[in-house]
Amino acid sequence: MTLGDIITYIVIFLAVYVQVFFLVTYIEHRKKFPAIMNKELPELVNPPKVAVIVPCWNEEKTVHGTIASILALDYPADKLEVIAVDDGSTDTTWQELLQYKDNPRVRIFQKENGGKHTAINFGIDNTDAEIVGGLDADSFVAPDALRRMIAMFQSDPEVMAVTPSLIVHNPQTMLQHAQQVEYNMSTYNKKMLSFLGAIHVTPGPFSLFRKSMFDKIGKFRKAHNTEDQELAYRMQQNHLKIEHCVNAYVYTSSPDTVKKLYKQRLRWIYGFIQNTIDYRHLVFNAEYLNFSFFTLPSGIISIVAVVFLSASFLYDFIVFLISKINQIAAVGFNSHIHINFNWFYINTQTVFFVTIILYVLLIFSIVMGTRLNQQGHGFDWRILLYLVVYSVIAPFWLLKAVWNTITGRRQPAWR
Amino acid sequence: MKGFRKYFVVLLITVGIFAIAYFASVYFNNQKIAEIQKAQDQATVDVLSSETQFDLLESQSCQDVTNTYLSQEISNLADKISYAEQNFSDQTQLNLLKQQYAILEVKDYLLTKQISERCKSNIVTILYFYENANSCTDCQKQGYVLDAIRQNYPQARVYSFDAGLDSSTIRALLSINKISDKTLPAVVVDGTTYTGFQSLDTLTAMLPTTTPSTTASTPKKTITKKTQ
Repeated sequence: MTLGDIITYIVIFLAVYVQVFFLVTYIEHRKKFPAIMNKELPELVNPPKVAVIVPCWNEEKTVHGTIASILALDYPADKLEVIAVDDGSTDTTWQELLQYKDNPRVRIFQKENGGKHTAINFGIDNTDAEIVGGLDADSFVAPDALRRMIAMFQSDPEVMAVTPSLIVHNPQTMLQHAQQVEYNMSTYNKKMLSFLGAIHVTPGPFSLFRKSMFDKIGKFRKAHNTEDQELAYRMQQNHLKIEHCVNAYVYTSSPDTVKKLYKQRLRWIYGFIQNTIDYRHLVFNAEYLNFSFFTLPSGIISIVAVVFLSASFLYDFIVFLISKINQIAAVGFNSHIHINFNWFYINTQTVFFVTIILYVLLIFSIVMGTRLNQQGHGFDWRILLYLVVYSVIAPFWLLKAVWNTITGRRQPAWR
Repeated sequence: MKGFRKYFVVLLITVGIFAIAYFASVYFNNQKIAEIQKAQDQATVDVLSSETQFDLLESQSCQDVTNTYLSQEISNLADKISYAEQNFSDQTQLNLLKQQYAILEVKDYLLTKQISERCKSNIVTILYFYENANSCTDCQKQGYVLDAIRQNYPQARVYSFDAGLDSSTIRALLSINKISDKTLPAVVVDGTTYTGFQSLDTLTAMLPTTTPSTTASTPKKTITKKTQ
C-alpha cells in the first residue's frame, strides 16, 4: 500500500464519518420532523417588532421584488418595517428606492459605499425593532416564513438567531438546477447542525437575530466578505443559540454561469478558511463541543479531501496521458480498443465499496433535504447532475481558495 | 446521545462500514483468484495436451496437428493476470500463477517451434522479456508494440515473461538468450536476441510478408504493466 493509498483511505474514512454523524443525528431526532414540517401556521402572541434590512449595491433590477416580498409577509403591518440602505450604488438603485419615500412601512437611506456589513450595521443602528434581519436585494421571502421564524424565537428565549431554508429562485440553467440540489442538501445538513447546536453560518438572505444580541457581541464585521459566517462563529464563541427553521423558505437568485458561481464560491470558501483561521482557538476545544469537534473539522476535512482527491485524480490523469502518448509514439494510432464485460474486471477493492457507501449516504442527505425543501420526494435526475457538475467544477474554487490563503492574496469582492 | 459518546458510536459505525467493505473486497477478490485458479486448471490440461501432441508429432502428419496453440482460456488467463497485477494488493498467489503461466508458455513455444520446423509453417515466435518496475518506460512502449504485432500479424506468436519473477524457467530462458536485467526490454525473434526497445517498424520488418497462418490464430496478451 502506497502513501497515496493510505491518505486516500484516511480522507474517505473521515468523509464517511461525517456523513454517518449526520445520519445518526437524523435518527436521533427523526420523531421531531412531523412537527418541524407542520404546514399549519403558528399563532403568535404579542408578535415582536421586526426590521428587515435590505442592503443594496447596484440592485436597480431586483430591489422592488425584494421589498415587495417583505411587505407581502404574513405579519402584522405595524410590527414590520423595511429598512433599505443604498450602499453607494452607481446605478439607479437610489432613484428606485425613492419611490418608497412616502411609504410608512419602508424607510430608505443612502450612504457611501462601505461594503455589505456596513449597510446592515447602518440599518441595525437605525431601528428600535426587537428582531432584525437582512435580506439581500436578490432574494425573496415566502409569505409565511417570518411567522414561522418568529415562532421559534418565541418558543425559546435562548434562541438568538434563526436561519431559513434557501431555495434557488426560478432555476433555468443546468447549473442552477445543480445548485438547487446543493441547497437541498444544505437544508438537511443545517437542520442536523442546529440539533447539534453547531451552525456555522447565518446566511445573508433573511437570517433573523435578536437585536439585543448585537449589543452583547457587536455587529457585523467585514470578515473577509463573509460577514454572515463570522457572526455565526462569534455567536458560537459566546454560546449563543442559532436555530434553523426548515419550512421558512427564502428564494435567492443563484449564479447562472460557471464564472459567476466560481466567484461566489471562491468568496465563500476563502471566507470559511480565513474565519476558521481567525477563530482557530475554537477548533478541538471541548468548551464548544459539536461546533469545534464536528462543524469546523468537517469543513476542513471536505476542503482537504477535495484538494487531495483532485490532486490524486490529476496525477492519475497525467500518468494516463503519458501512457497514451507513449502508446501513440510506439504504435501510432494503430491500437485496438479492448472492452471487457467480464465481472472479473469490475473494481472490487475496499476503497470502491466504501466510496459507493459514501455516495449512498450523500444521496440520502440530498433526498432528505429535497423533501425538507419541498422540492420533490425522492431521487431525481438533478442529483446526478449535481454530483457530476460539482465533481468537475468544485475543485477549482476550493484549490483557488487554498492557493489564495497560502499566497496571501486578497479575497474577491462581495458582489 | 450526549457529549463524546456519540463521536465514539459514529466511529464504531464507520469502522464497521469499512470492515464490511474490506470483507466484501476479500470475498470478491477470492472469487477472482478462484476464477484464475480455474483458468489455471484449464491451463494444466492444456499443458498435458500440448505435451501429448508434442509426443504424437513424431508419428503423425502435419495435417493432423492443427490445434497446436493453447486454448482461449490461456489467453483469458493472461488478461486476468495482467489486470490482477495492477489491482490486487496481495501478489503472492498471483506470482505462483505467473510462474505456472510462464511454464505453459515455454511448453507452447517449444511445441510451436517443433511444428514450425517439421511442417514448414510460417509461424514466427517472439519471446518478450520485461520488468514491471516504474523505471522501465521502454517496457511499457515495447508492450504496446507487441500488442500491435499480436493484433495485426496472427502468424506471430508472442510469449511474454516477467524477468523479475522468481522462476527457474524464466532464469533459464534469460541465460540461454544471454539477456541480463540491465538490457530490458528484450525480444527474441526466431532465436535471435534484440535488447532495448524495438520499434514497430523494426519488428514488422522481421516478420514474413505472407498471409496469416491458419495454424496460429489465438492471440496471446502481452502481459506488461501499462500504468504504475
